Amino acid sequence: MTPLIRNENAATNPLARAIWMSWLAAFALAGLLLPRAPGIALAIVAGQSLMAINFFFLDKLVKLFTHAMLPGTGNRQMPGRFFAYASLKVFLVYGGAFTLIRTHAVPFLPLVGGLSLPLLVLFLQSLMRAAGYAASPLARRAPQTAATSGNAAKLAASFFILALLAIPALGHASDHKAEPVVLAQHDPAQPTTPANPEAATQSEAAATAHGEAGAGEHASAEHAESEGGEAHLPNWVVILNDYFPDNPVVHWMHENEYLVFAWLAGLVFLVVVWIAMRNPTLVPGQLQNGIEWIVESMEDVCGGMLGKHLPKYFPFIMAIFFYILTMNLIGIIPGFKSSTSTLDVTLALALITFLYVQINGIINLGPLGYLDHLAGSPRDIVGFAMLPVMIPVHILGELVKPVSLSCRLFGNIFGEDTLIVVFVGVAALALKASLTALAVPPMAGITALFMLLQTLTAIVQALIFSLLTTVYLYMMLPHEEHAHGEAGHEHA
Amino acid sequence: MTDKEPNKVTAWRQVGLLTSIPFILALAPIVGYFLGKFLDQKLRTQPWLSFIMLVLGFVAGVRETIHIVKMSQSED
Repeated sequence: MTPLIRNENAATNPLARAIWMSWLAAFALAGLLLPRAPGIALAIVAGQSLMAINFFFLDKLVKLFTHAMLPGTGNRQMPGRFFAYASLKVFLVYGGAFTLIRTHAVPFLPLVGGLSLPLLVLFLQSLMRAAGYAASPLARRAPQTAATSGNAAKLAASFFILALLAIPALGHASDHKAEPVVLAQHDPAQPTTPANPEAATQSEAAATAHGEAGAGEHASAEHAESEGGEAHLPNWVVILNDYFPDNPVVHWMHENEYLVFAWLAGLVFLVVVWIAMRNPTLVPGQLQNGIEWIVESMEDVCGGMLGKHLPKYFPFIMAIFFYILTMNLIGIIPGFKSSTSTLDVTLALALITFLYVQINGIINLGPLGYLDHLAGSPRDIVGFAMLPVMIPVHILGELVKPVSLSCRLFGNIFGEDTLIVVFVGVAALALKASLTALAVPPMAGITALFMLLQTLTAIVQALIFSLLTTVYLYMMLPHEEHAHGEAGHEHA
Repeated sequence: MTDKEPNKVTAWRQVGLLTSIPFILALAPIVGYFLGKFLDQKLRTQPWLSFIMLVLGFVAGVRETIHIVKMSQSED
């Protein structure tokens, strides 16, 4: 009889490997914590033992169950051993956990941490497996994929290290949190002094509407927003501002950090593409190949909609795509920030798109055709009668497109950033409570997972922004050009 | 272009288009309201334009949604 579950030896069985890994982690944690907090160390080991026992019995039960259910065996009766194992498991694991919790023999939270250690290891392991790094014969691999799985491991490791790097940065943030009060105190006091040139320019700009006092309020409100209003990881501009608070350049960078990071993203994008395409070869190198692959994929996607108009609009679409992609991705590096996590930048991008689309609409359709498009192409008496209603509705419809574009991009990137901030924040709190060894590894793991997720979101949102730009451009093309598309009939 | 490409294109276009429906539906009345409020301040017609634009914004949102669904269904 062939066993249903292969890989009996501990070297290849994924569950056994995970349990061994979690034992190692539990003992490492316990060893670190033993001198300082023996109770917590004990609780972690106890939780780990309970979960290991649980998995041991679960493994036995599943094997017995699958063998009993195997069609060939004929014996469909559950053996007595099954119930013996089951009751032993219930007694040992649940009874043990219940006793430990009820008698307060060990602190509760570390016990739960110990219990979840094997689960966390299993989770991370399955993720590595999904990313293509698996040392298991369950999915037999061709030898040449060894290189790719190595790359996946490198990727995972680099995310993990990045997450670890992010934690001291927040340790800095919690020190930094005390400062806004002080800053807010002296900020409105000197809105027009030379030490605060940004506030001075703001006061000039806002002088017509608010007057001098208004500008001071504006500056401090903005400051409060960037300091305490939202959760942010400190980036190098904030840190620089801490070291050189009097330097006007640094101060200006601190006030306009989104702008700084947007410029930086543009620069990074230019440099990367320049390096990739410096001397293009027929057999491309890795970087050139990657860039060419992105451009060609986007060409296919956009070409399906724009057809022969593609060469005209493609540079704009790709510029938007790469710029947003770089801005999104740059936020994953600790100490940097996604400029797209503010509505200002995304709205600016959407406004550029909006103007580009509308101007192209006027050029393509002609002024009269454009007005016809805005009026909803009335072709009968009812259509003309509805004009006073349809024109505002159409204008609103056109206006809402850039707003929805920018809100979506902002919401997604900001949400991901906040998620990472929250998880790094938990780790930083634990750091403050001197629970370093307990907090950092699992938190770094979880943060690394969210960073992976953020990478995905960054790519998908950049793609969607540029795709919707393409769709809006397509809607503005002359009628006969896209007569094959259903939608074109009704709209243009 | 291979046979698989148009499917990928359609799928991505549909993802992009359909996921923008909630934003359009929610934001169209809001944009309409603020536009109406701005016009109210300019023309001194206090509550009227903001209310009318709110309703029109709602209509525009629904209209755009119908349009988006039609576009996403069209084979291309």
